[in-house]
Parts: sequence; structure tokens; C-alpha cells
Amino acid sequence: MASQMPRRQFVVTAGSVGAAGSAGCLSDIVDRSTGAGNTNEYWEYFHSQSEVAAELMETSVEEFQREQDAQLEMNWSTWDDINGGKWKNNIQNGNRPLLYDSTNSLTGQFIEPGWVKPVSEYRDRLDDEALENVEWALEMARSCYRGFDEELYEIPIGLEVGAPFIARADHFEAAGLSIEDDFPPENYEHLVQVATQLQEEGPGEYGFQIYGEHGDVTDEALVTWTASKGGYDGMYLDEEWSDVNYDNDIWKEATEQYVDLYREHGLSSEKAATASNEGAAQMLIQGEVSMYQGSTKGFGQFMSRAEEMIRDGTIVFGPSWEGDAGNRGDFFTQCVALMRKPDGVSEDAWQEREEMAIQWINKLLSADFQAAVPKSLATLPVRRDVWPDLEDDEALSRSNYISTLETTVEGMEHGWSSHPKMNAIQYNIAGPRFQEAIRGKISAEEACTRAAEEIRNQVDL
Amino acid sequence: MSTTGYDATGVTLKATAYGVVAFLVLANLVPFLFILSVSFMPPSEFFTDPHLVPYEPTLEAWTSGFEELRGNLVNSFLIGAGTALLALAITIPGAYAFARKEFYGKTAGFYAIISAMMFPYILLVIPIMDLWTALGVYNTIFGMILAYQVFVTPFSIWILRDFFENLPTDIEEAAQVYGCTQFTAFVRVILPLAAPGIVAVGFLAFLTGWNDFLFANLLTTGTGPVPAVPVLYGTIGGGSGERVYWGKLMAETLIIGTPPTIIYLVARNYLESAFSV
Repeated sequence: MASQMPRRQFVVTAGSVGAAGSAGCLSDIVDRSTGAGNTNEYWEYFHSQSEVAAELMETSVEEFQREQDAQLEMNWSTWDDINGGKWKNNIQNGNRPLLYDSTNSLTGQFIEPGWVKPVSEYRDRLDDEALENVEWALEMARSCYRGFDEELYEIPIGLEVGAPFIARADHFEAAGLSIEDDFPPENYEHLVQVATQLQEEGPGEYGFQIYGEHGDVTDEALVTWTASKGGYDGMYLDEEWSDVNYDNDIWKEATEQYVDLYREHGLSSEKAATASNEGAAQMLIQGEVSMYQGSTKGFGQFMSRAEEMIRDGTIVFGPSWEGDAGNRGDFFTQCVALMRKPDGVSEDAWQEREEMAIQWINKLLSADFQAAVPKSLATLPVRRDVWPDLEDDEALSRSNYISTLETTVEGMEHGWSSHPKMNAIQYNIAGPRFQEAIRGKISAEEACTRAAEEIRNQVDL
Repeated sequence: MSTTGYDATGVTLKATAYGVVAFLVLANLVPFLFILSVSFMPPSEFFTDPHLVPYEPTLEAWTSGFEELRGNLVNSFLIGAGTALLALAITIPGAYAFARKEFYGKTAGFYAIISAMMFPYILLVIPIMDLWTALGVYNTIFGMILAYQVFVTPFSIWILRDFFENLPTDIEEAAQVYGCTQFTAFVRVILPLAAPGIVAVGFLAFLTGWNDFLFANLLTTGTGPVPAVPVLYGTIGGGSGERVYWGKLMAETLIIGTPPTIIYLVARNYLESAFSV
């Protein structure tokens, strides 16, 4: 019995210590949850673009915290966190960040309820020099918010302008074509002609790869063609956001041409219906295809998987053709935004935090950060004064990447809408219909008509 | 004639058995070897011709994967261990009561608890999010430990009740004859005998807390204590859902899978006893 007492005492003591420890540990963790509006929460998406982007964002945040002697509570998020409702659920439950960065087409869901602070309320607090050099981009970005009351809700950091043609220079040479004269294609007929020659006489199996993956089919090459031909009539939504455009003649014609490249001309592999634009990029690296038209973000993919081919000019970029609307396609932004003050937070405390957020936006607009944008975020930096120096970079210049983006952005005015239901409009409803057209299950015209009808039936525009 | 027939049947059966076993082993081993191989490949090599032994092996995926997961693994461990401990604290006395005691509504109560297992967990996420926010445990380790009890407790009670029921009552009675109270008989006699079941339930509860994605993702904002599995999902998702860093994904998968494997190996004897009952 005597020997059992110490054991019992030990159990009681250990239990008490454990309970106390747990209480202390858990209370610390519980405290963190009460930070709705009480912390400098920054919900961050840019880093998820690539390993290089992650490195840039992480080092920039660390540097900023050191410089400002401040602490940002980082929420390293992904596309699905924004698109899948996690951010929205959190904000609805009172967990609102101080600022976020994202891609503008996903953020209408936050703008519509009034959670995002319009840029007009703080633009005069931004760095003057940066503002002067990004004014043109702020002007362009207004087209993204045309359905809302205010003109601008987010500050663009990089522009994804597109979609450029991307090709294998060595395949052009082997097929008896000139990469200087025959690339990029000047119009659809020229595209078919060049791609046919590449396929018949070049080393690649396919001359031009299209992609039908439902997240990509509507948002790269196809919308570039429709925007360049029809301007706002070629965008997903009309200028007033009162209706979808998928069933107008511009979309029907372009969709038919796009599908025909695979189904009529046989210029794409049998993977066309399920391929993503990243998949097409990989096929280009492997030499299976000679050309495709895809995202500027492909640059990051090429840098991680085929850096030599970018540096020696084997893989080259070229702007899409200028259409009847006087542009070479559409754009969307990688952007940053301030949130409005949540209830229950004092005005002074929020002002103080907001001031720090403004300094962070200034850092994103600084010449140093902007110079790193093309190779990390793989988009066009919004600060024009950093463009000339980028030409000195071997990878950016030999691949024609920067010159392509600069050419593409000239005359460009149609941004992807920040409509709150953009996910359904652009991907969830329309994507599968266009994919069916590529599979040959329905005609291109039927895909356009059905996508438009289904959106009108299901989405409150 | 009959001997030849017997041998042929025996050989056929044996060959079939070995064939099935070999197929099952290969079906598990080949993907595992492929995962292991890819985790040591540089990104550019993954997309070349399929091969098992990396041409230029690198630890980059492992170091970057571990670096990314380090803090999250600690969170996962706290959540897994907390889930197991709380589940045991609730279900051991609960299951014992259902096994040995008679009280009003015993059967109905038992099936009411078990019926909680019939609901898809996703149905519970939104109400739990709301409730946890109101209680101030949203985005906390404690909140997740508590949330997992919703589906860990029913199966734990089910398993342990059967365990306690199958233990002979005369052992407990004998202990009481020798001077134990009902409580000390339970602690000193019943609990050690039920150790395999308790370890099994604890292990399964730990696995639930460690491996879950749905609650782990939706009951955290990303700024608080994020467990490891949502980070793995981030690696799968990449920027737009298509840019996947396969080497890091495989390395992170193996890193996350290692602690439960070690725990299984340590507790293997108990688990085998539990599941052979």
C-alpha cells in the first residue's frame, strides 16, 4: 500500500500539471482566434503561383517586417481558398484581414458586400513616384470593376496580358519557316497555314495544341481571339454586366475556329479535350507540339523545367494578332486591396494598421519588387519605368517575353470582370460546355448557346 | 492418378495464392517506390521518360517540404494526440457504462450516439464553424480537437463497449472480493485487460485528427494553427490548380505519413490483438 501512494501522488500531480499545461497552451492558441480585426492579417495568394513567387513573397514579407518593425499575420492561401469559399466564409464569420492579394476575377465576392475599401479613399497616401508610373495600369484596371459603384477597388501589381503565342524556334527552322517572319501568326488563316507546315515538315507531332480543360478552355486563347475581335462583345459579360456574351456571333465563330484546329485540321493531339495550358506547355518542352497559345505564367513553368530553352531562345513568345477591336486580347490583374474596418475595432487602431498596409502596398509598387515581377509572378509589372532594364535580362529578352508583353498591352482595354459570380460564369458552367465541343459531343455553336442559357438560368446577373 | 490430381490442384491453389499475394504486394509497392523515386527527382526530370531511379537525385524536395511543414507537423501532432486523449477520456467511462450498467434509455442512447456516424461530415461543417466562432474556439487547436469528437466518439464507444462486454464479469467481481472498490477494480483490472481496445481506439482517433482535411481546412483561417494536411493540399493545388510540384508533393506525403506509421509499428501488437477479437 505504501508503494502505491507515491504512484497515486505521481498520477495526481502529473494530471494537474498536464491540465494546467494544456490550459496554458490552449488558451494561448484560443487567443489567436480572437484576432478578427485585431491583428495585421494579410491573406496572400501570389506566392502560390510558383516556387520562385513563394520565395519572393516570403523574403519580401520578412524584409518588410524588419524595416517596419511590425508583424504581419500571414495566411498563405491558394486559388481554391479564394474560389472555394474559404475566404468568404471566414469574412462572414467575422475573421476579416487587414489586406489581401489575389487575382481580380475572384474578388467580386468581397467587393459586392462592401468589405473592400475603394482605392479612391487611400490613393493619395500611396507613394507619389510609384503612383506616377502605375497611373496607366490603374486606368486600365477600372474596366474590371465596371459593374460596381466605384471605379477601382484593388491596386494592380502585375498584369496578365494575353494570351501570347509560344513556340519552338528550332521546329520553325526544321520546318523551313522563319521564326522572325512567320511567327507569331498574323491571323487565324495564317495560324492554320503555319501550324500545318510545322506539323507536316517539322519534328513535332502536332503543329498547334489547343486545350479543353474546363478551367482553361475559356480563359486563354479563345477569349484572346474574341476580345481582339469584339472588344466588350468578346468578353464573358457585356459592358454593363447585364448579360453574358457567349451566344453572340463573335463567340460562336471563334469557338468554331478553335475547335476546328483539332477536329477539322487535326493540328492538336488527342489530349486536346482534357489538356490544360500547363499541359500544352509541357508538350512544347518535350517537342511533341511546336506551338500553342497560352498564359504568360507559362514563363515560370519554362524557367523551372526548361530554363536552357528559354535562355538560348529555343522557346519564344510572340503577341497575339490585333483584331478588329484594335487590341491583342484581354487582361486580368494580380492585385492587392485594403479591407474596410470591421465592427468592434477602434478607428485609431485600424488607422494605424492601415498605415502599415499602405507601406506594404508601396513596397509591392517599389521599383525593386516590380523588377522581380516578370520572373517570379510571371506577369507584366505595372511600373513602366522598370521595363527598359528588364531587356537586359538574358532569359526575358532571348525568349521575347518582355517585348511580347509590352506589345500585347498596347491598345489593351478590356479586363476580366470582378463580377461576384465570375467563377460560375467563366469556369463552372461554361467550361464543361466548351470542353464537350472539343470532344465533338456538341457543336461549337451549341456549346455557346447552352453555356449562355445555363448561366442566365442559374446565375443572378 | 489420384496423387497426380491432388498435386496439380495443390500446386494450382498455391500458385494462385502466391500470385494474388504477389499482385497485392506489387499493387502497394510500385506506387510507393514511384512516390519515393519522384521525391528525389529534380522538377525537370519528372517529365522525361518514366524511370524509377533518379538520374540526378536531389534532396531539394525533402528539405523544402520539411521546411514548409515543420510548424504544421507540430500542430497536427497536438491535434492528433489531443483528439485521442479527449476521445479516450470520454469514451472509456461511456463505453463501460453501456457495457456493464443498466440505466433508463440505455439502448436508445447507444443507438442515438452511433447514428451520428451515419451523417456525412460535410453536413456538420457550417454549423460547427458558426458555433465555434461564437464560442471563441474557431481557428484553434482546441476547437479542432473538440470538433473531431463529433465523429471519433461514436465509433470509439462502439468498439470499446464490445470490448468491455466481452470481458468476463467474474474477474471484476473477484477483484472486489479481494478489497477493490468498483472504481479501483475498473482501473486496476478492467482497463489493463482492455488495453488492446483502448490502444486501437486511441490510434484510430489519432489518425483521424492527423489525417483529416475537411475540418482542418475549414476550421482554420490560415493565420492560426494550420495542420499539415491542408498545407499538402496547397502543394497539390498550386497557383491555379494545375501547376503541381510533384517532387515536393511526394516528399510531403511521405513526411506526413511517417509519424502514424511509426506509431503503428510501436503499437502493432496491441492493434493486432484488438482487431482479432
